[in-house]
Amino acid sequence: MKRLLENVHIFSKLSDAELDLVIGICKPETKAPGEKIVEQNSTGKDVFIVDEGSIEVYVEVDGSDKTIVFLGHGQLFGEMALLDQGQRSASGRAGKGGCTIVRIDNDDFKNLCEENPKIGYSVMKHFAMDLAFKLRHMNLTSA
Amino acid sequence: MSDENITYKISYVVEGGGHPGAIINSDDYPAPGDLVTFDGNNYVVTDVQELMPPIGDFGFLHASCKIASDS
Repeated sequence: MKRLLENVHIFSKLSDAELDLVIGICKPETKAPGEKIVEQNSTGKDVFIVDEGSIEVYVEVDGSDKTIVFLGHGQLFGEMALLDQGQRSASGRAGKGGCTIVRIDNDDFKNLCEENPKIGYSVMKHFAMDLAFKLRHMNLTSA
Repeated sequence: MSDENITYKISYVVEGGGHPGAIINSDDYPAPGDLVTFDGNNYVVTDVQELMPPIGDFGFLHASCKIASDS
């Protein structure tokens, strides 16, 4: 688990002791190929990290699914709902080979950040950078 | 350009458009000719560029790729 978190950008500046605190709220899950992880417009706020395989992120357009990105090892999924408390902006399902992911409960995550401001500051700073990188990717794929 | 202490956050964009691509972290700097798998297919890397300046132990790359002929 620690090796995975070291590969996740939002946790990259945390000490070993701080990473151990994060590990304490991580719940590993295995998903079968195509298994739904989150539903667009739902109210769940958990955050997910991809360990192995990929998550297919997609939105519904005119009644059909439109894939917007595949997220592989070390990527965050679901962080927007955690940040703005809004509904899920996209759906996510396991890629064709299935995936192993880590689920972080929204309340556990907020409590950890509030009890450990250094963790909170570092994570929130890197959340913004992670979103910027995803936007750059979207710009490249839609060009 | 590879550094054993760096994690590379890589934006893979499939040549020709029409594919959403993938974002994957890797300990290895990708190089043209490397194979990467996503969406159930193998892709071969054709070009690699720095997308953002490196920050700390992270590098941010854009890799163009095309579907491998044997997938």
